[in-house]
Amino acid sequence: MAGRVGVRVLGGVFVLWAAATLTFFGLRLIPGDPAQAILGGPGSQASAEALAAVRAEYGLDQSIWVQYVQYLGRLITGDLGSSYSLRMPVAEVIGAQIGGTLLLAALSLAVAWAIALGLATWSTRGGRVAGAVASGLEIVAAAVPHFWLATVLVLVFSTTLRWLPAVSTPGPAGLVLPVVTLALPLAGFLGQVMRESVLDALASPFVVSARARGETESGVRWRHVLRHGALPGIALSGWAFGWLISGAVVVETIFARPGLGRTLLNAVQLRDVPLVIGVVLVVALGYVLMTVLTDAASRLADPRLAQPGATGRRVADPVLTPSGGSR
Amino acid sequence: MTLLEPEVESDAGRPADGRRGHAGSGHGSARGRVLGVAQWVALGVIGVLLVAAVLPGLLAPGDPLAIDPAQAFLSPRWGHPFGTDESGRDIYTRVVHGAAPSLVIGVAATGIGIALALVLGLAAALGGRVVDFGVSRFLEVLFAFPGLLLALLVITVYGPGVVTSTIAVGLATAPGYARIIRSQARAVAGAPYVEAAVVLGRSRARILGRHILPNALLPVFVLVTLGIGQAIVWAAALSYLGLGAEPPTAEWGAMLFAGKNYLATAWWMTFFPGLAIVVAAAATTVLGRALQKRGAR
Amino acid sequence: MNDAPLVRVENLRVGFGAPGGPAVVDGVSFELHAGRTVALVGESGSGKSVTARSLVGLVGAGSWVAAGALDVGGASVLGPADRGGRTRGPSAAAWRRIRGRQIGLVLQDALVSLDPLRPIEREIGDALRLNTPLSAAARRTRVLELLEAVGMPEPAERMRQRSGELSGGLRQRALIASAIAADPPVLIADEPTTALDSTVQARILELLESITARGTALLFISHDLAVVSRLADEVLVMRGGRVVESGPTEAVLGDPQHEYTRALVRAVPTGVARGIRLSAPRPAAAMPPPASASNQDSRETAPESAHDDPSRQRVVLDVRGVSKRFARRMAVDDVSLQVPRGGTLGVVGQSGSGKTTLARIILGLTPPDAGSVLLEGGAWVPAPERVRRPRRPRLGAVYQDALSSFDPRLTVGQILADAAGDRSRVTELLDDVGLAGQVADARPLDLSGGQRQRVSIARALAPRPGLIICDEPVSALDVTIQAQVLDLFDELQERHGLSYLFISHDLGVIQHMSDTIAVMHDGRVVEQGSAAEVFSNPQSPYTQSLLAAAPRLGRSA
Repeated sequence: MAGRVGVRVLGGVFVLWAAATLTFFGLRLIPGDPAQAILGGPGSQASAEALAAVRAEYGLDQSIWVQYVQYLGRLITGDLGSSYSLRMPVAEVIGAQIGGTLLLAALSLAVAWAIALGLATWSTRGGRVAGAVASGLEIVAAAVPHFWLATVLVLVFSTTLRWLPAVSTPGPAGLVLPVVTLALPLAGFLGQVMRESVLDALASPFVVSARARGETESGVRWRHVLRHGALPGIALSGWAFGWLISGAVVVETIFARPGLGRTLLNAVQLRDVPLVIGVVLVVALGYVLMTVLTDAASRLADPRLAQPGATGRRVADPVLTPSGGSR
Repeated sequence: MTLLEPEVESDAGRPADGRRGHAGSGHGSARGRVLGVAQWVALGVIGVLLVAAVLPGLLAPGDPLAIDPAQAFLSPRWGHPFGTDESGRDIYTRVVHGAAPSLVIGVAATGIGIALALVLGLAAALGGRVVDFGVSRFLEVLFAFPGLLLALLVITVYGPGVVTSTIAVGLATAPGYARIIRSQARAVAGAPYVEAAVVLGRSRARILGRHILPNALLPVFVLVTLGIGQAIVWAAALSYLGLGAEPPTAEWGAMLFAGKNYLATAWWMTFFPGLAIVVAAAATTVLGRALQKRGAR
Repeated sequence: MNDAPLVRVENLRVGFGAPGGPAVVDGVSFELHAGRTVALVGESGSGKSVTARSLVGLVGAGSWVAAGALDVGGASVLGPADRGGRTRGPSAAAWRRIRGRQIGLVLQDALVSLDPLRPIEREIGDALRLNTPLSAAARRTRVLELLEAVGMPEPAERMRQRSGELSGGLRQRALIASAIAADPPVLIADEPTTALDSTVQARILELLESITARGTALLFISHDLAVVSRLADEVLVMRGGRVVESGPTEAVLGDPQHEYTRALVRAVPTGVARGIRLSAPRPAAAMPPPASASNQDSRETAPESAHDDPSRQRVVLDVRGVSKRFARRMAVDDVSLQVPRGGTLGVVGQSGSGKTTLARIILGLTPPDAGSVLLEGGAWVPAPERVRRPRRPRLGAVYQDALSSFDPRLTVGQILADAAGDRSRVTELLDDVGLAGQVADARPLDLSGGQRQRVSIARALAPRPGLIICDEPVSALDVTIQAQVLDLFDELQERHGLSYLFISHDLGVIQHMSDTIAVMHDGRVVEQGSAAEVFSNPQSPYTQSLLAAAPRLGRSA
């Protein structure tokens, strides 16, 4: 187990290095003068002095390899450069914004889990109709775009009913709509995999064994089936994290909620390259950490995975998603 | 989901199978009746969408760009079932005419993603250990830029616009597809029937052409079907963020982008284009899953 | 005997779908008495499991149960079927008082019959929690006692493990412990040893015997006549949901009256001399039509000319000192074997003995770490595939899981045409294995297990090989189907002068099929010799233990 985690950590370090390298060289593809690009693209009419300052700061007058090494060196020390548009160190910007986004993502994940698991357990109890209804709900939920769901929620709960603020205010009330917006589609995805897993478990001989020793229906569900249903959810948490951050770009923008997603979108719109790189690398770091954690959690929850050559149930990637899956 | 991952092998001691479809387990096979109500509805929706995309005039004879300031901001009513926008354009007409660009973007993005994924996935699965290692690590790195983030990076490099955003969505979906195609192709390449062909003395090229490629590519149709709906959603999200198609194009995402400033006063401007996206995405998903079940047997 | 029956079943009918519709169990009657064992014997689909599960109300969703009488512990568990037919008879709560408390159930493979995510302590403890008033601490003690009672070594450590961490035999013991935890007077064991190696099976059967010796009534379900003959006092032979014959075990199995029982008994290969048919001769209609006879004639002469040809060797396959290591384990350890031309070498061993790895090495699918294989006197392994490929037609293979060895997209006709390289030979090949020509249009998925294995044999024959490697070719088949397929192997050997390397875990099958035998254990050949010698006078202690553990028809021990 420890060895396995070590391998995963090493793999994570590799992924981070490669992500940083890919971003570094990828952004050289921006046509024209990189200094110009850093200063906001060709339309920014940056002064010659500003360009010179940027060239000096980024070492753009040196060879690309020197620049690359310096770039990696700065990354290791946590120096992500400074944002042109905000005139602040990128690390500081991210430090200020990351908390809100993580809170949003964590709450959404928890809510999505609860909905998905609840739906999976309930719908497999009520026969064919309940199963069809749940399956339909999951498919529609997974098909709903964040921006539209947010719109409808705001129309109903803010504009019409006036229960909740349309703009995310500090405090719990302001979190409700953003969390629901992020959680519902995710619950659709998770629900599909979890329900399949619950159905598999219910059809397994160990459920017959449990019933044959006098287990109650709720006992079968609580003691046996629920854990099996949760397994794919755990395995997909790394993927879900990436998906939530990606959704946060939209949701934070719609609800005017400060956070990493909205910062990233602004940076992209302003072509604030250092800020884009910074946010993307931090998300990559988060993603890597999440997958390492998820892997360890999966192994704890399902001892079959920890055995050499084990053929435990493997979780398929949710196909419906652009970002693929977690393993 | 089962089709796209190698099935978990069961242990040796399965009971003898003998005859099929007899007592014992209690769950009868639902094979054969693949198309239920939901699947027929989905097929119908996709049919309507295709008509809207190819012959929009049949469903909405008006001009989606015709301005009539006197008719601005009309709520849904007789004659304007989905209402009108800030310039008095009929939303229903625009939604119908928006099917073509939205579907084209979705199909193109999925095409790009699948094409890339096929190259990567098949190379990894069939190209030997070194290629597999390289491609797998590369995919892992791409996974670290989840979903929209990879698309946003692409847009940062190439600037916003409908072409860029389509390519961006295609690129962002490629790693996921590649991983699925890789594992599918690997499962097929290691399948007992491939070994049986080796034992029969078939050449590697023949085994590849006769057994591995057809069986590995079959599920890709499912991926494409499932993918198009999601590609529409993600491309629309980019448009909504002002990074994709731009108003006054009658594209669903762009219509949402245009409508978001009038949300409080003219909800129909965002509601109906969004509904079209949801319906399209759900319909392709339902159809894709039906295909998947049929393939999984 | 003794007093009132613990379970009384009279004219039981069970079906799925609309009540009163076609039944999968039709007119089954028996009684269970303390300390006695009743066995339900039959092939897959005979309705034996459904019969057993109707005693605990676990037949499954959408089923109905009707009977003249269905009494458990003197009380009827019959009642009006409700509309959905989901639970019938007693309420769910009443069923729960029967399950575990009055009747315990042991299913086939504990790997999946115990929750793989929970330690066995909790699985066994659940039976106590649900059916006894014991406290958590008392349950723990009792679980330990139970594990000791079922012969679990180091119970205190094992109880913290999950089914996947235990060996097949140990987890089956844990499953039995959970079924008898609340001390039910009746135990149902549904194919409890089917997934196990014969030596492990023997120990589990001993355990079940010791449980009945303590006064528990046992309803034992099996497809294996030999196992049944060892354990059961009374036997019911089932076919297609009906009991075709029943009575005391010795009478039914020793002197079967019904035609089907006779076919079952005859199908058991154990102790049946080589060359004697296990199944009824093929009806004339299914014999190959004369049209293809000329084709076969030309092939029948092949072995003759082979004898004349000095370049052809007496030994078809020569395996010399082959070894293969996987990770820490020697899968195959310095194995040397020879297959005589026109003869059969049987390789027998339990799971993990290395026989399948050996087959893969011989087939050139897995390169060995050391040693070599010669096919018809020429270098075969190790050699580049390029060199091996032109000679591949000389070597055929038949696999255990025929279905997965067929490309799912192809029809039987396409599969055979591919293998023969000639579309016109498909009908001839199907004839050869006793299948009708229409089968060519079917997909393997739509065939029965026996038909699939015949297609698989036809494919192996297609390139006209001299030697066929058969890796557990009949172990997934019902016994009467197995008998037909084994007879087919014999016929084909005679007709085409084939040599076989026949791999099986089943001593009976190996004894019946082989001229010479190699016994494998932990990757090594521990004994090798003529079939008669090995079976009558085994030299190695391992072979002796294997033979001792093998259940035989007719009451042993």
